[in-house]
Formats: sequence, C-alpha cells, structure tokens
Amino acid sequence: MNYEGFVQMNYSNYKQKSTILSSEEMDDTETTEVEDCSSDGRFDIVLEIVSVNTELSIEDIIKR
Amino acid sequence: MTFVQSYYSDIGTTRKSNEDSLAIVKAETDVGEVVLTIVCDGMGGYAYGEVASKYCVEQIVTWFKKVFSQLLYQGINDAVVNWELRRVITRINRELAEAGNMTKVKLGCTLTTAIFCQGRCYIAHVGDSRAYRVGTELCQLTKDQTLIGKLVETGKMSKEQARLDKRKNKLLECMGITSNVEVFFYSEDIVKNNTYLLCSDGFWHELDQDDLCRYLNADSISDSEAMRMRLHFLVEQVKFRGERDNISAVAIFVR
Repeated sequence: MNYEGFVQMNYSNYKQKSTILSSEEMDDTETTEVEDCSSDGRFDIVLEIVSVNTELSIEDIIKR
Repeated sequence: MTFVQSYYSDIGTTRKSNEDSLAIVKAETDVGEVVLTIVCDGMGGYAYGEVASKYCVEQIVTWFKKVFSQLLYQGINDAVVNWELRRVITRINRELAEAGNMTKVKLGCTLTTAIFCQGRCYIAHVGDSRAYRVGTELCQLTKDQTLIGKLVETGKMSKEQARLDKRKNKLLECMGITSNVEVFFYSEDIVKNNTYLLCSDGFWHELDQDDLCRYLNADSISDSEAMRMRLHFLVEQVKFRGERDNISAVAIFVR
C-alpha cells in the first residue's frame, strides 16, 4: 500500500481542509490549514530547552 | 504516564565548533503530558552546518507549538502525524535548499524528532542520527539513511563490518542538499520504564547495546539530573574511545 492510500484510509476524523498531496507535491506553498480550536483544550508549555551553537540565521547568510 | 528528560551536547575532541542542535519541549494538556524532542547534526563537510541544524530545530519547535497543539484536539492518529511531520520536514528541507542555492553554500544536516503523546511515540527521521528504545534490550527505531546502512539492511554487509567501514558517513538522505527528501516515519505504543534516546552519529558510533542498556535503563534514572549525569558519562566514554565528531543526545525516560 502506498503512503497516499494509507493516509486516505485513515483520515476520516481529521479536519484538515487541504487536499491529499503526493510527497512530491508537498511544498511550502501548501500551508497546513487547521481550524482555530485553541479554546478546545489546554496546551501549556512547561519546559522548553533549545540548544543551538550559533547566533547566525539563514537570513544573515543570505544577506552576506 | 510521566516523562523524565535530559540532554547532553559536546563539541568533541577535534572539531572547531559544535554543529549539532537539539530541543526538548514539554506541554501539559487535557490529554496528559506531550513531549517533543529533536536532534539535528549539522554536516561538517558543508559550510554552516550549525545554521542548518539550528533552523531545523527552531522550525520544528515552532510547528509543535503552533500546529501540533491544534491538531491534538482535532483527533490525531498515526496517519495524521505521519502526514504532518512529512509536510513540515519537506517544507524545511526545501527552504534550506533554496537558501543554499541563493547563497551558493550548502546548508546540510540530519534530523531526528520524536513526539510522545497519548501513549504513542511518533518518530520522523532524515539521515544517520538515530532513535533508540532502551530497556533490558536495545531497539533501534530508525533506519540509517546511509550507503552502509543500506548495505547492512540488504544483508550485503554485517554490522561489525559496517562499524569499521570508512564510508560510514556517506549519507543517502539529508536535509538541505536536494529539493526532495525521503522522510522515514515510525510509530509505536510507548513502553513504560524504558528510555527513548535520540542521538547524533557521534554518540552511537562508539557505543554498543551493553553500554546503553547498562547506563540508560530504568534502575539508574531517578530524575533529570541523574539522566544528564548518565549521558555525560557516556559522552566521555565515546570521546575516550576515539570519536572525533560532535556528540549530542536527548533522552526521555517514561514512567
């Protein structure tokens, strides 16, 4: 069974508005559209550790 | 189900910089604790590997907080998480590749991420970092997307031969180098009293099953500090055994 078929069979309770895409079609123009349901439940960040080793960003490199 | 988490990252004995990045994010929700972990290993052969790994980690953390937090209350299953992780990783890969094309530099790294939610563990992976489940036995949950990994998988090379092969760093997939990337996905029911470990290849090259099961099993871990001490000890072992790469690991013990 290919990936797209697997997704379609198990997608019944998923309220995403975008259409099913093949992996080649996935790109940054297809943003995830999810319903604004933040009031439906709690999602409190209680711990956030981000360990990086540079202050440079991609934008900094592009500007150089 | 509760989680005890820690991490350790080390520049190693030879490199001039640490190009690895990692993150642990824990949220309290109406369905219990939800944890995101990620390890990215910047590619030393390319310029700005540390920028690529940083970008991947920050983007996945942002996605977790903005998108996954909403998906959670719409009802998730393996297919949904698989699809959404592939989507965000594909997007990040494309952005890295485009930035590389614009600047004429290669921004490459590996990416291994795991989400622990509602009794399930979801893993997405690109490259040769690894995810393990450590209990009385060691279970590797990711496949190495390397030339050597492929040879081992198809039975053309033993694991011992692979450990000594000089081509062990040849990646078949990585973030930021080509516009398309093949994302490995795996999910399973979380196994209590086991430790889930995400690590860069610098960590796993010089460690075997006995090392990991001995130092990361349930009996040795009481809290995050105890976990961090264990990881630190293993990192020092790795350096002592001759590893030259950056070394990074994130561990989540499930109670």
